[in-house]
Amino acid sequence: MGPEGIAEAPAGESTRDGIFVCGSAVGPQIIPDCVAQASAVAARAQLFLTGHRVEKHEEPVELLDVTGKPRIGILVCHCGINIAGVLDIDDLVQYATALPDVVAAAGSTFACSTTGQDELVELIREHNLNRLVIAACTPRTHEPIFRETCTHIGFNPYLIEMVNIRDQCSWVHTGQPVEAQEKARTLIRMGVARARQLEPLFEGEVPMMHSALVIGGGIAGIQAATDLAVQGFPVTLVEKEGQLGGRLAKPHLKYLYPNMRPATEVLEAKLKLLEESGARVLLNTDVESITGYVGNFEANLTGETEELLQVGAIILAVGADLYDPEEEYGYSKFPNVITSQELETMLVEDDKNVEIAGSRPRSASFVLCVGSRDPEHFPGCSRYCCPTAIKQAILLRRMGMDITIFYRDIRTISTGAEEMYREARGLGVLFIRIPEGDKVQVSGTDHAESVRCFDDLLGRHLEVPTDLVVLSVGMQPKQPETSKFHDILKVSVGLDGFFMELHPELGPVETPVEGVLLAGTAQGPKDIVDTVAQASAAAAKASIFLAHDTVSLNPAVSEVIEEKCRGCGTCAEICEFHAPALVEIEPGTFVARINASLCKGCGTCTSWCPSGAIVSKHFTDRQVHAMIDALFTTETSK
Amino acid sequence: MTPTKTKRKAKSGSTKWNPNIVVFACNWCSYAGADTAGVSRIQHEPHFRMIRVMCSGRIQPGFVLKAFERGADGVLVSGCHIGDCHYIFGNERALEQFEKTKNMVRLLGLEEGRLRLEWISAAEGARFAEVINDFTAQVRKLGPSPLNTGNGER
Repeated sequence: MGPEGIAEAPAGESTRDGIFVCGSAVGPQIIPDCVAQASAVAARAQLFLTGHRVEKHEEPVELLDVTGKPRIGILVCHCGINIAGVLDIDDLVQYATALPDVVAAAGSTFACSTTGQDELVELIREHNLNRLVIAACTPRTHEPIFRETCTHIGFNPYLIEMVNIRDQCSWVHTGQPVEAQEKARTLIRMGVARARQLEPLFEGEVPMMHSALVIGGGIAGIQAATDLAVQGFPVTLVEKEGQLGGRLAKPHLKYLYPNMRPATEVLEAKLKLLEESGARVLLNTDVESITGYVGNFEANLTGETEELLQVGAIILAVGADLYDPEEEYGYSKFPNVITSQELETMLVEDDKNVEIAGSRPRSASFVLCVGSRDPEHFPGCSRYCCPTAIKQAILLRRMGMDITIFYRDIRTISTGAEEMYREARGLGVLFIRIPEGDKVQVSGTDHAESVRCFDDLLGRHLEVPTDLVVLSVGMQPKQPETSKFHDILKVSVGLDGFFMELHPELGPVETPVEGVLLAGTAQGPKDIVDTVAQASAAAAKASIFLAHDTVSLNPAVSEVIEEKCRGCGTCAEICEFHAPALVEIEPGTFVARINASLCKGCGTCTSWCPSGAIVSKHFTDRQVHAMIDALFTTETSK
Repeated sequence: MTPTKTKRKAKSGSTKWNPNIVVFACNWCSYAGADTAGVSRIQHEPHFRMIRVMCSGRIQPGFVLKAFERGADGVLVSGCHIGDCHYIFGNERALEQFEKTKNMVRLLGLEEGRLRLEWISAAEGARFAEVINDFTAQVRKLGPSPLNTGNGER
């Protein structure tokens, strides 16, 4: 335990081998950080478990014959009183029985329970069903359960239609049972109409390459590559520059906050682990292009090593750039206005003595949020700069300088940073708060002499003489890498310009492109501790893909009917995933073809195709039209 | 097949006429928003029927026109907020399609108020209910669709 009584394990490892801690047990943190950290410790725990994975063994099942005229069975769920408390289930069962092609209908107390699932299997077998309608809750949560049960008995899982009479009916029209009953009847009628049009779909499988490519050799890339390689996956780590380490390497960083551990020490330890892991490291090598999809990516490497590399998963760890202040705060005008990075480089050379143009400054001013929390540059907080400025201020203060920090808000969210802030105050570092939207003025003749500002707390203007101005620069998306990989991999970029995760809580290191994961500051500003945790999380998620022998492909995707296609290329133009491509089938004749492994099944191309040549499987025009027709037709005779 | 032949007329007085509204919703946001309304038991108007597709980008003009042709009094198209699309830009494509659809609906001589586009996230259960109530009131005010041939369910 640390002094605050919270487990002392910044990177998930505790002081005991084989025991890991994560989430708020390590320190206060938001859900996305908790989730990333939990994945990270799972990756670490895997290292102990390598070779002891539980093999899932499934007996092949004989597929039921689902051909011929639709034979629809309906199960209407009571969901205890959730549905039955509002709707008349017997009426719905009776109503459903009279619908076209319905051969069986029954009620079920809880369709998703083991008993309910048995009833369902019984219903399918007894009536030799080839379509199933389940009027119950939402398909978003329960369709997977019914699909799994059906798969186990060889009933094609895409022949199930769920009708939502709970979440979108009994729960929201509780006080209007008559209207709710009518709505439920209509929804069942629509569900049956759609079920009549459903077609069996079969999940394709493609082999999975068990190797990974990590792009970027900073601390994130080093960590991710190490974690994967230790588990036995072949890993290639590609670094554009001639050395590994990124911002942790010389001459970028002297000490890591809050423990003031020398950066070189940390990096050497990490590099030793990387070397031992057996990961292949390619320096001075760039990735020119990437094609393919999860399990089967092909990367074209150029530079010192030129080759075509095939991998199953990709980790993007391209890092971030630092903001360039250009002319701001007298940066390029005065020699004694420097960035926090330039100060750090000086500290790397000598952490006892700082000299600017041959003389030792006796005072220094730090300006925070340079290029961060600024709608024009980067609207977000760069997270690392407050603790870094405080760390640097403490070092300079110890050299005997008078230090003033100009801030809008001090954000010390990382473990130990608040304590460091208190230490700085104790050492006599002055903190001056400037109002939102205001900026300090750096003035002087041939060098910066003073910093002027409006003190938000005193409510008056101040002028602080200074020998040195340090601009705490925020992070920016790494360019051209971010735009390049956005283009070639279709990994989305957020409004802030950084790579965007799939979901803050549900997929903090995943991207919408399966098999492509994010590590470190490529996804947004973070400090070393968070970067390491996130990199391990990305490795853990990558290993989930890599551990499989095959990748299942979603069969509910779009398909081109080539006879109808006139090769206009609209689909290829609008698809964000590069799934459709024009193919020349004979000289001068083009048709579109959709790569089923790239298609996400959104159906946008179907709705845009001017020739009506694309079918969105499981959401076909015919299926949607059948629902609309059924909605407006009270057809009950068979 | 025996379609009912009840004439639908807006009646003044005690029996309130109820519109028949078709809602197209994407799986990830709007349909999920309707589920969220359910989980939070947020009561709303029941006179709409939902058709789920994976992405609002799938909602082609033909779906909306078909609904009006069959007698829908109002059609609501819904998807994820711009920037939140599960398929990156599907909803922006939906927006372009919607503009085209709107023009066609205008050509049919239908009032603009019968067709609406709303972005509703998975979290916005309350907003889903609000949109449904508001749109129902709006369509109710417009009365039965002039395209309604009387084959409607009510």
